[in-house]
Amino acid sequence: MKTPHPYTPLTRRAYGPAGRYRLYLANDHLLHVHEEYFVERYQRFYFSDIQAISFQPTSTREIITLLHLVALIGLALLLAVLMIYKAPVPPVIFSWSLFGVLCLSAIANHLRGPSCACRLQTAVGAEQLYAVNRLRTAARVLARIRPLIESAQGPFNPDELPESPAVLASPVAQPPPVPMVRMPKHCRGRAHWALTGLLALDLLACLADLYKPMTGAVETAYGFLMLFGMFGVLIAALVTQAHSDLPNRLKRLTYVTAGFILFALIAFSVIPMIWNHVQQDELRFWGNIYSVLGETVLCLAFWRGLRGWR
Amino acid sequence: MNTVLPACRACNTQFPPSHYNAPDLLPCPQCGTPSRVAVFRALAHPPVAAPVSSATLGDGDAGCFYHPAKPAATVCDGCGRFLCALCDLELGEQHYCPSCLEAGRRKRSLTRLEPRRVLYDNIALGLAVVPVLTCFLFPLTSPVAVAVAIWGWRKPSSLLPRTKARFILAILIASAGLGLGIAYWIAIFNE
Repeated sequence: MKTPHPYTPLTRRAYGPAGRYRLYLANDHLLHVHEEYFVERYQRFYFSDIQAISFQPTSTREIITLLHLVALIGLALLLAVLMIYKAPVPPVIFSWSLFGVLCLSAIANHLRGPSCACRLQTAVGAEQLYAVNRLRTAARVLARIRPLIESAQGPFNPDELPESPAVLASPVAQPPPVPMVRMPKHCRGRAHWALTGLLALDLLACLADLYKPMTGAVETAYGFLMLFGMFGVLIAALVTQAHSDLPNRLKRLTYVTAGFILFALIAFSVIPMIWNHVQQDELRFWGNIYSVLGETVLCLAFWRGLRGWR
Repeated sequence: MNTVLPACRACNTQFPPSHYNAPDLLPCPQCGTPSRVAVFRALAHPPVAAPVSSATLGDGDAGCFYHPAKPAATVCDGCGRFLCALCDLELGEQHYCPSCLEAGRRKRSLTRLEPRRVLYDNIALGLAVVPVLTCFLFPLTSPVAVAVAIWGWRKPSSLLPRTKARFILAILIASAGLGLGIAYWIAIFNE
């Protein structure tokens, strides 16, 4: 006979600051799972250790709705431009599909109810449960686990709390509970330096290309080498900076660089392959301008951030 | 260990006892942010360090395996040895001796001690799918995706319910991508 799995999902997957989160129930503990696509990280909260669970509404739902609105307005403008200039059918269908998906996502976000932040406190410290990000979910989870915690600990009696009436009677700020964080590993930023170097090299190549365009085998070889090199170094930078002590602005800058490279790849390489109506020379010119401007900013930002970092 | 009372996330002011276990959201006394606080008995009884027993072993008493002069308090769920209160390491509802706990952590036989797991199926799938977006990396990533899928097939996967579907999908996509990539390059060179 197949044995039941020890973990039952308590919440749906929720997006947090560094990936996806989900809460599971086991027979004697809660498992908070942090999915980083290639790795799953686990935090276990035993029922006998849980001291308090608190949740407070946040404005996340409103912010997500606002972002949806901005994206929808942008897409509507793009659709209007495509219609006016009688663009071919595939981009129009793609834009309408994206518009529909965004509409559905906005409605789903609204229907899921007010957002909240949930904190679980143990004797070690307090930890935010990113998986519990809606008030309705929080109430449901609490109703489900309260009997289990009480059966592990016994019922709570307020009289058993330590005698400190002066503190309890008046609201007084106290030092924040210590979050249960791992010690970050040290990152020297060598991959980031390499990325900066590659960006600078490509910047020079783009400037040279503006002056005298590359042709034939040189162009192909340079394109492939730069593509493989950039992707390799970017992946190395993303891996080494994860859970490291590298400043947050440098970490964000790496993600911005990834977005910059992907956009360039899609806009100046993939789309022209699909849509033949693009003027190749014009596209090449604008691609070079995009690269020169973007890479100058990124190189300067990386150099500023990495300059004093060891 | 000192008791730290639950506090407001916005202003870090501790909630008054009147907020504890209230059925609805109540405003924070300091900043007015609505909050709901569920408090449990462990708040009033924080864990204390294991008492170092001063009692000596009497006639007929079982002694601790590691401290023979101390009376046994429990039995290790891993090896069955008698343990005194000092050697008893609690993991949920189970009790372990230090060596079983260390061995479990090292051999990864105690899944409750594992803080992370690598998802080889996601790595293989990522390597198989990325070339679809870039169109250029097939020759490089597809063989790696197949290799990772075969290598990671028998490795411990997620602690949570999970099938091998991602591995199969990764192998199929990578094989198809590799085939198409080779055909494309052959066509290019023939031209």
